[in-house]
Amino acid sequence: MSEILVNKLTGTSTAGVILVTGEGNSTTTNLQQGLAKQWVYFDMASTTAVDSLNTSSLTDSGTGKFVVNINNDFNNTSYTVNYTGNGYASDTFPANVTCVAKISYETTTTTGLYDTISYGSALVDSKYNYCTAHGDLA
Amino acid sequence: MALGKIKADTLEHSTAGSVDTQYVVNGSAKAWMYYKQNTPAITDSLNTSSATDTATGNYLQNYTNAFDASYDGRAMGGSSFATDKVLSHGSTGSTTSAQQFNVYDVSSSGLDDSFSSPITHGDLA
Repeated sequence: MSEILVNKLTGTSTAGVILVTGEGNSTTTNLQQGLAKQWVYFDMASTTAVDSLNTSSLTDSGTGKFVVNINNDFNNTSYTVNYTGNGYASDTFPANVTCVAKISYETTTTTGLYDTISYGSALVDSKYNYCTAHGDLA
Repeated sequence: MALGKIKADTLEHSTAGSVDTQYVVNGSAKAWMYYKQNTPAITDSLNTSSATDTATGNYLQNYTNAFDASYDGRAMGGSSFATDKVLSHGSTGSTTSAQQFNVYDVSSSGLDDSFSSPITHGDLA
């Protein structure tokens, strides 16, 4: 098995483009574009992340509302986000166990704004919060 | 400068640890887009040639490079902007070259949202 010891990967033709051959052994995909640029897992009972990538801090901005502060900025606000949440600490399934997120228009290159809302439309501080973002770094 | 090619099974950082390159190949998202259904317009994307409006709340994300299997061989997620809206994947119309996504409100009515962001992982053809 070969192994490369390296701290930084940079494309030769274009620094921000490294092609990776896909599973079908022919089609290539852009490595940088496919990587998640930010993710965080946390409990809204606190603003401390359980684990994260490229997340400087979390801000509690009200019941069911939080701001993800991004460490290295995005290049624009056209980055995609994926949120999955669960409002309870058990495996039972009350009507409002699953949280959906409203992603704010006010999301910036340095902050992602989320409102977590139960099935019953009430804002809730979700226990399990998983946020992932893909897009272009500055 | 000629384009180089490196074949390796592991990448190792001096302090941050190492990763088997299978996680680079298999773990990278193969398609995503920032899509304004109500315009409609794609603002930014990866591996996306276009989007097709198939019904209110429903759209097809058409891929530039196809996946090796249809929707049952891929993992998808995403979020929508509007309150109480859910983004789900649809089987109707989905192929290796396109994926149907549906946006619903809590009464199961379709809605053309102002922001929809599907992300898909899986194997390219």
